[in-house]
Amino acid sequence: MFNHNKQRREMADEFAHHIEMRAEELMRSGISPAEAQRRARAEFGSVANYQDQGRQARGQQLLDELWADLRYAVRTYKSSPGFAATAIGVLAIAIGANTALFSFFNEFMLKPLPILGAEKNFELRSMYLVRGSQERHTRRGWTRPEAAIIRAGTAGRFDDIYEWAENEEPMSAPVALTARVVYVSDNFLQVLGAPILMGRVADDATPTAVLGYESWQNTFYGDPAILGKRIRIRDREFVVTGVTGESFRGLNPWPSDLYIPLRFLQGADSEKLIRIGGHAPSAPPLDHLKQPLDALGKLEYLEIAAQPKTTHISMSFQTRMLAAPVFGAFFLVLIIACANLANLRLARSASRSREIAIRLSLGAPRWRVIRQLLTESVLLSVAAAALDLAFATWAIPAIHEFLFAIMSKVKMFVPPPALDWRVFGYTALLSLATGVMFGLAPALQSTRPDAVKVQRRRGTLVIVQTAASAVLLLLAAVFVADARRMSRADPGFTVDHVIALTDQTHPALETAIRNDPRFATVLRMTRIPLFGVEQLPAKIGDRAVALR
Amino acid sequence: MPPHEAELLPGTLDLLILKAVSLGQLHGYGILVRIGQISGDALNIEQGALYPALYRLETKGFLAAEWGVSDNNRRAKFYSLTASGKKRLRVETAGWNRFASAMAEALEA
Repeated sequence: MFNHNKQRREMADEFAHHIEMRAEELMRSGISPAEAQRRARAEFGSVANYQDQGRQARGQQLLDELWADLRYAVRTYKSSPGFAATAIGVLAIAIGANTALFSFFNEFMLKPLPILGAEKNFELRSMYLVRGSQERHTRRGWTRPEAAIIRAGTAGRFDDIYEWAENEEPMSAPVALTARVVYVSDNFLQVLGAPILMGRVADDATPTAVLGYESWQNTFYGDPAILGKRIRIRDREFVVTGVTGESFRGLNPWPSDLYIPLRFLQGADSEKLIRIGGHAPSAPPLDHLKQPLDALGKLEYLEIAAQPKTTHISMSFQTRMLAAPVFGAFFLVLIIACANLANLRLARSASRSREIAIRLSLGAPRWRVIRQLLTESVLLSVAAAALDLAFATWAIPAIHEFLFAIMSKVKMFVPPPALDWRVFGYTALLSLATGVMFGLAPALQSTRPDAVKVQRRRGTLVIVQTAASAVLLLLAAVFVADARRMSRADPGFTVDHVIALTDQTHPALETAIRNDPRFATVLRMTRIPLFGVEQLPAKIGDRAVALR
Repeated sequence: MPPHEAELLPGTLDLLILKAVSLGQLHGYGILVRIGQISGDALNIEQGALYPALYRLETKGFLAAEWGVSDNNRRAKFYSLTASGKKRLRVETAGWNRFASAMAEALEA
């Protein structure tokens, strides 16, 4: 099938030869050359038609043979179900691990963002130096004055340009909880194509809010009379004017609780960075913004660019460098499984050498026998992949529910990775490749006229298997050692006597802490040093007593 | 259609090709001429119809094909019978003979 064109050319040559031979014969019986040509063509019939039939004769044949091979393979495995079950089990684990990894990769790096115009979506980023230092920084956020300059300087360069800022805010009424708030420019929901389930989009001037669907369902129990109700965030009241549709998640993988006009974003300029995105057919040049931004003072801009943001995580050089070793490790698992099974099949090939020898001596081409053996191994890997997909449709929601049930305190919801055509295609290709990978060596080996080198081939496979296992073990060891070292790393300050209160803290609590003599120092910062080292649950009144 | 030319029964073309090639390596046109000789020009087929049958037999492994040079010094594809092709010819011939004699008996009864 790969040499389709060659086949077509050869057929044309063959037909031409036939017609010419016929014409020559007709000429020998005294017919004029032109008439002989005409008659030879007429007698042959439609060249195109017979080329078509010829191709079909070959293609159909391949299908018939494939079907025969499949039936034969099923019969073979029926007579040795133990081998088939073991092989499918081993392959299902190896292929399943790779498919699971790919489905996450797919979800965050391949699937287009579920927004309107995802394919032409950009986000503005900068690279800058802090005056007086040589250290380069990159950043996606902008202060309010910077955002104003960009707004003025990009007029007409994007189809649409929108702004947003995300924050977790304390909600105190009607219920007390931490809300994920997205502060948005007035066109944000419209540009990203947010479906509005009821009500309307908040208008820019008054303190209004649009509820996310999950928030409306979970916090307000789907109250049909939600419009016009009041929500208190920090110390300001917002009127609910609308609810977004269920599918909308904005630019995040998780849903947000509230969309509030950007002008109600509280906090100092330097703390609350605004992010800017836009739609454009191609990235517009933004170098002209450097000068007015530099003029603001503190920073020296090296580059201002609109970077494509079409997926949750963009495929940058760094993400590729991070993903490559992970994929490599998972692939090694597959290699080990393949080497293992190839070895098993080589051992079994001794018992089938008689059958193969008979087929070869009956005139079956070697390639034909190899194809039959490959069909047998591909059948196993495809069965394993089918098992994986069937298992995944059941297991993904179950595991997902379990994970988020035990993580409910995090109050973070990420939808489960969906099985789509990409995952399906990847699994199909992977299973085919796997079948060929572990089937080819034994197939080549057992159809050789002299089957003496089996021992050596098996030795090679054992070496491959051992080497791959060793690499995996080393990787795991390094990983564990690193994790241990990280947990014992010295952060440079006494961790024991520090309590971190995040931004969600109610302002009144901060005042209380500032006035509490048991606290040695109270600091405000945008980021906890070495965030994530260890966070202990603490309540004022128990551990705090032991401070100082 | 002249009265002495018979329509081809399905499957018989394959058998005739195998028979023609069993007498020696031939290219496509040669096979047609040979069939004409051994059947006394009793068959009426469009000449192009030979090729799909040839390819079918080749992919089934009954015929082997290789490119060579024909009498008039042109590149041509030559077909010959494989071991399984020889066996196939024997089986098919026996089957055909049984069928033909059964038909003859039935029609005389």
